[in-house]
Amino acid sequence: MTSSDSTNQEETPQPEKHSKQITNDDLYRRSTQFRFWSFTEQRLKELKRSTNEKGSANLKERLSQLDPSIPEVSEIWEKDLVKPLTVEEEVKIVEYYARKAQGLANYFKLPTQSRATAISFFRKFFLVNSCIQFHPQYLMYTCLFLAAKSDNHFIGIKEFSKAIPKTTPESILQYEFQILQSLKFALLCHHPYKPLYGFFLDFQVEMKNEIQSDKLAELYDHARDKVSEALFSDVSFLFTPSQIALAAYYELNPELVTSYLSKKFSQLSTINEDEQLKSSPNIQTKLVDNLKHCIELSHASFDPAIEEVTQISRKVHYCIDPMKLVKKMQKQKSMS
Amino acid sequence: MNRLYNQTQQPMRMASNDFFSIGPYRKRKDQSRESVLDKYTILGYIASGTYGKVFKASGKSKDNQKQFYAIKKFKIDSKDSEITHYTGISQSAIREISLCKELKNENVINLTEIVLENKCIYMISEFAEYDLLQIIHHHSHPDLKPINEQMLKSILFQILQGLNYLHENWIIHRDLKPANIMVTSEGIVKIGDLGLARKFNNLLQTLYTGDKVVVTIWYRSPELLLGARHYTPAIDLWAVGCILAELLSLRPIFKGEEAKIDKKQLPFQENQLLKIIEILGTPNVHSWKSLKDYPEYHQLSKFNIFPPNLSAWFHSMGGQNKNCLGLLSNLLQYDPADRLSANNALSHEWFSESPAITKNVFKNTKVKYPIRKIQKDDVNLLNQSQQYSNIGQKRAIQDDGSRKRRA
Repeated sequence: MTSSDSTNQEETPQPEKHSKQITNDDLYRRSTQFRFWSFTEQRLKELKRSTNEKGSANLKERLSQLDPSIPEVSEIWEKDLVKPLTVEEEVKIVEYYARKAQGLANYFKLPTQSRATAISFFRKFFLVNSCIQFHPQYLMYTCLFLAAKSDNHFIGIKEFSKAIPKTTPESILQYEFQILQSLKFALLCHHPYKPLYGFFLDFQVEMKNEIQSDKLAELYDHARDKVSEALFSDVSFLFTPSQIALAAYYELNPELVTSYLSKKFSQLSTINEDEQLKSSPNIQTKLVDNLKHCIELSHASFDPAIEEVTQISRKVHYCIDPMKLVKKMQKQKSMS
Repeated sequence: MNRLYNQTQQPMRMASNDFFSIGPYRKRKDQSRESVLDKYTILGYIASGTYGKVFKASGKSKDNQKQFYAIKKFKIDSKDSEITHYTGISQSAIREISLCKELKNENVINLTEIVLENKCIYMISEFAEYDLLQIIHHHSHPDLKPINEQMLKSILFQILQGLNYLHENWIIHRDLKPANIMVTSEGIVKIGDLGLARKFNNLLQTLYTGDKVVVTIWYRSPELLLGARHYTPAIDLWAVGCILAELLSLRPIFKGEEAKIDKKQLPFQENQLLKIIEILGTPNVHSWKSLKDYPEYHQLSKFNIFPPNLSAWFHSMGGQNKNCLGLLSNLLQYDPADRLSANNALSHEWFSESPAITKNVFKNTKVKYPIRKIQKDDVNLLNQSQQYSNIGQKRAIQDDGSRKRRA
C-alpha cells in the first residue's frame, strides 16, 4: 500500500450515474468482434491484398531456398511453374471450404450458432493468413473443432478425427495455436441469428396488424436462410449482426420493414432520449441505404464449381510445398 | 502434413526436403518467437489448482519493469494421467480466454496478454497484492479487529461496480468469494478468477447441463441449493451478500458442511441450507412465489421452522448502520427475482451517506496488510513435466483450520 497517492485520490464519483442502463450498441462497440474484426470496405480490400502479398513474398523466399542443383528446380524457376494464388483464387477456395465446413458441422449436429462460429473463425483466419501457406481444407477441420469447443459444444478429438477421412488427432490439433493467435484470441462471435429472432418477436408486437402470424413465421424462416447464406459473404466484417438480420427481412419484405422502422423511429423521437437521433431526421433513410448495401454485398458470395476449386487446390499444394511439383516432374521424366 | 514426407525416401540431392512441412516450419517459427521468459521474470509461484499454476512475475522491458504480473499457466489437457495424450487446448482455457478478451473494467482483473509456447498457454494479467481472504484473515488474527466502515463500504461498492460490468456484458461470475476478490496495492478492488464464469445471453444448453455444481458452498445461493436448473446473475448477488456479512463479522455467515458427492449423485446440501435458514428464517411461498417449483423443494419439510433473524445477527455482530443492514437483507433475499441487482445496489442509500466511499479503499486505514506469499522454490515456468502439487488445496485447508479454531 502506498501512502503517497492517498492524498490525491478523489472521492469516488456519485453512485447515481450507475442507474443508467447500458445500450446494446455500447456493448457491441466494446466487443472484440467490433474492435478487431470489423472493417470499412476499403480496409477489408486492402487487408485481403496485403495478406495475399505476404503469402506471395513468403513463397518467393521459399522457392529461392530450393536446392539449385536439382534440374527440376531450375526448370521451376525458369518457367515460373509455381505461381502464387491471386486474391480472387484465394477468395474462391476459402468460400468453397467454408461451405464444406457447414456440411461437416451438420454431420456433427452442431447448433446453428457453433456452425456460424466455425465459418467465422475460418474466414478470419484466411483474412490474415494466405492460402499460399495454409491449405484451407486442413484449417477448416481445426476451425470447426475449435469452434465447437469454444461454443461449449465439445467434441473429443478422437471422435472428431475418426469421422473425417485422412486425418489424425495430431493433424488437426497442430493448427490450434496458429488459429488462436490469428484470431487474436478473440473467440466470442456475435451472429445475426439472435437479432433475427429478436426482430421476429418485436414484429409480432409492433406489426401485428400488418402481417399475419403464419406469414411472419414464414418470413422468419426465409430470413434465416438468407442470414445463413450471408455467412459466406463479407457482410459480417462490414455490418453489425442486427443490420445483417434486418437486411435479410428487408430483402424479403421491404414494405414491412419500412413501416416497422417508421414506427420505431417515431417512438424514439417521443422518448426524446437520444439527441443525436433526433437531430438527424434522415437517419432512417441512411439506415435503409445501409440495409440495401448490405443486401447487395451479401449476394457477392458465390458457390465456386468443384472443377475450378480442384485446380486452385492443386496450385495451393504446390505453393505450400514446391517439392511436390519437383517429385511429380521427376516421376513423369522417369516414366517417359 | 509432415507425415507424408516421412514415408518416402528422398533423393540425396534434396538438401531441404522437409523444409516446407509444418513440423520444421513450426520449429523455426518457435525459435524466432519471443518466449514468455524474454518478457517476464518469474519471481515465484502463488497457487496451483486443477487448472494449472499461477506465478508472480515482473516485466523485463523498460516501461513495465516495476510492474508485477500474474501468469496463469494452464495445465495441458490430457485424458489419461498416466500417459500424456495431448488432446488439444483445454476447454476451460478456451472459455476463460474467450471471456477475458471481451472485458475491460477497472474493477475486474485485466488480461494483459496471452502467450502460446510449447503447447502451453500462459495468461498474463495484472497482479494484485491482496485479496479479501487475506484481509479478513488479518483482521481476525490473532484477535478480532473490525474493518472500518468506510473501507468496508468502499470495497463493497467496487465489487458491485465490477460485478455490474460483468452482468452488463451478460456474464455470470459463478464463483464469487473473498479469495477471488483482489485488492491492488493502490487500494483498487478487482474481481478475479473468471475460470467458472459464463455468458448467459446465448445459452445452447442450460447452465446446469455444463456444470452441475457451481459456487463454493458457503457462498452458494438458496436457489442453487434447491437444485435450480436455470439460474440468473442473482446468484452472484447472493455471494456479494455473503461477502458483505463476512467483512462485517470477519467469519463466513453461512458456514455449512459440504455433503460429499456420492457416485455421480448430487447430494442435497442440507447442512448449508440449514445454516441459511437459521439466520434468514424458513422460506415460504408467500415471500418466494416459485419456491414449490424447485426440484429439492420437498426437502424443506425436513427442517424445523425458524423465524427471520438477520437483524438480530447483524446487531450481535456489532452492526449499527440501518442502511447497511438494509442492503445486506436486500442482497440476501431468498427469491432471486426480488434480490437486488448489481446496478440497483450501486445506487443504494448506504453508499451515498457519510462516510463517503473512496477510490482507494485503504485511504483512511492505518492497517498494514501482509503482502501475498509466493513460493520461491519453483520458478521454472516452462517446466513441462510439472507435478502439480496441492499447494492450493493446502492453503484452503490451512485457512479452514484457522477459521475453525476461531469458531
